[in-house]
Amino acid sequence: MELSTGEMLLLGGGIGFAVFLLIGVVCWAVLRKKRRTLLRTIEEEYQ
Amino acid sequence: MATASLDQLRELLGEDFDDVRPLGEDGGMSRLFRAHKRSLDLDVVIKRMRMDPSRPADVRREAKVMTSLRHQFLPRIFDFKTDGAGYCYTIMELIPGCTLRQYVRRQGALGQKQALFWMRQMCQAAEYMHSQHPPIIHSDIKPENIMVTPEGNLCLIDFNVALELRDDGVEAVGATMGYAAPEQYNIPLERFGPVQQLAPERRTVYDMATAAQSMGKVTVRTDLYAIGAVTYFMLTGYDPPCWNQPPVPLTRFAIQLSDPFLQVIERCMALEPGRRFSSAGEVLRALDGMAKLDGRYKAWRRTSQAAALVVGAGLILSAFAMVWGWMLLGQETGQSYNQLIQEARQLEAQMDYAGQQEVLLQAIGLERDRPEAYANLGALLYRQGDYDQAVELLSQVDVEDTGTLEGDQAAAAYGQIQYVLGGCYYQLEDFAKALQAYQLASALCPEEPAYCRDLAVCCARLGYSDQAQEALTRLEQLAPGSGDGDLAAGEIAYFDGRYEEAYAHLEEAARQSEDVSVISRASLQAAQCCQQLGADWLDREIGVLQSAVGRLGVSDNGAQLQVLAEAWLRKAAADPAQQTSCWEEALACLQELMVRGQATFAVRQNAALTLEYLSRFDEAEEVLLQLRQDFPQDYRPAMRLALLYLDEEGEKEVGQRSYDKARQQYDEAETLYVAVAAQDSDMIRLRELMAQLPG
Repeated sequence: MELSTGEMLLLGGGIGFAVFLLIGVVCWAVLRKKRRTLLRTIEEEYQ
Repeated sequence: MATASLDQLRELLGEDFDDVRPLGEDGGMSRLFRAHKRSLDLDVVIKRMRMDPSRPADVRREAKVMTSLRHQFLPRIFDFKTDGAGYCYTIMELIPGCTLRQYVRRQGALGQKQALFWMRQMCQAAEYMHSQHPPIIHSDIKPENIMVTPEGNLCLIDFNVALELRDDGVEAVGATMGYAAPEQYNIPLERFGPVQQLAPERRTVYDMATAAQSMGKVTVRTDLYAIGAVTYFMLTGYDPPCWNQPPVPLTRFAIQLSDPFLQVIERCMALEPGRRFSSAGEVLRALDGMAKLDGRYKAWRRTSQAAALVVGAGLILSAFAMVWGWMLLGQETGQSYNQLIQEARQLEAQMDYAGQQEVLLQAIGLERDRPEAYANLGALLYRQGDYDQAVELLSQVDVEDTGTLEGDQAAAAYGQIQYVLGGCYYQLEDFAKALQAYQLASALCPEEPAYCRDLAVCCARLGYSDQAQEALTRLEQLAPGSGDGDLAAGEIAYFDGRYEEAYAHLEEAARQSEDVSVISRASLQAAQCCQQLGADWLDREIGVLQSAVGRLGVSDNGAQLQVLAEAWLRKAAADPAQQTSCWEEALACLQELMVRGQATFAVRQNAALTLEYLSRFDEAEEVLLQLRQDFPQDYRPAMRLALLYLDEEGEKEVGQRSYDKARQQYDEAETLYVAVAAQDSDMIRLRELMAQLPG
């Protein structure tokens, strides 16, 4: 199926948005967990 | 201590206190005693100090403030007394345990955790004191003045140099080397007297006072310096060097110390008060937030920020691409739509009406909001006579939703739609709805003569004479002498039953007008007038139709050809002398329609009938067989075939006749005819003929 420029941009943009959103959610979850672990470790060193 | 002074003390304290005895060595400025307070069943410490005779009121006031202090890291001060000999006595809670100095000497330097724990406690005590009104500055925080309780907490004691902070600061009373902040040495130099006469130890203090002149007064930040110095001591086991000596940084010691903690201590011990923390509360917040100053946490934050930047940029770019794509798509869709409309016009010019319809449906599917495809398809369906389908299609169009068209363009498009809709309703004889549609079309396009004309005709049809005349007058102003006026006047006269007058107007319009739709309608309406006026007007009917066929193009004269064929057939029936030529003329019209692909059922049936009249049975049979194949559920092709075969056999000799084919077609026709409700005279005739057949 031949896609027009507009269709390609819309589709590509939509896929890109979804992918980055997914990456963002995963990164957020991973970094949030790492932050908690890190803060706990550091605070245990200080407490 | 002399017994006499002890007795004086006991007398001063009263009966609530017993077991009064000295505690520790005689201090420089003070002397400590211990007693038991009976009422609270509590051991207390009594500190005796010499009062400043110039400030008795200050001492009493300060005592009042001290007795009001309540904090877990400060000793409770119960009372304050003075004797007549210039001494004041502070009665406070006895804090068990040892001093911090004793503790560190025994245990060695503390680890970061423990030092941080106790630094927090010192800050909490200092924050409490500084929050009093006015703030109380301890000004002598040092390891000797800090008790380590058996529970492992600190207690800040010895308030003999505690100051009330008024205005911008106070003048310090005492200072301990290494723990006193520089501003505590900010003493007026005049007090030292002539410099040359100063003793060496006083000279040292004088030099420090000179250096401290720019450090300002003692404030709450003074205590913060001391807290930093005490923490230095806890971590290293050594007293920090005095502020005017070369510093010995904590990093020189072999201790495990995190950078954030180091930064906090160093800031507390900044020489200039302005560079220290502004309050004990701020120190506490810095300590609580140390984890976030850790290098590992900073690295995490940098990673997070980079990830957020990348993801954010990705999301923004993607969203931008989507928006841009959406806008482009709108433009592309519009272009595709316009191309389809153009293609439909080309197919119409080529008379490929099926292709035109398909392309217009595609355009509608592409953009349902635009009216052009609806208008074109509606007009096509109208020309093909599919009025119901046209109404169903055009009724979907929302006049309020103009889509991408604006202003005059939108009005023109929707005006056309309403006009076609009006025409369909008119043909379906729903004149009220037709009037509504024509009114809307005329309102949208007031300059369009055709809309005004048909509005006039419709008004006349419904008996609204005044409105019809008004529209007619407006039409004359819009398009004088264009034929529209004659068409409208002709149609109005027709509805009034004035057929001759109507014919005159309509024939004039068909002859003079250059508008295809006017010629078409006028000629057909004129033909109807002739039909109303009887057989004498047949020639005139044929004449006006022939003229219209010639003036209209091949794509527009289909209806005229059909009616002309019927007129020739009627003439053939009316004038037997010219029967054959009339049939030939009728057949020519019908075959022309069939060649063009515009033959309806009626046209093909009439063509077969005409061929039968001309005894061209094979050709008639061919037409009817094709008709039966195209309309298998219709009884009429079978009926016509049966009649054709009967007619054909009728021209043969009696002995050579065979009615099998006729019977076969008759049986089929009968089967299909049963389902039809209306009576067909031809079918009745066929039954009679079949009944007469032998066998």
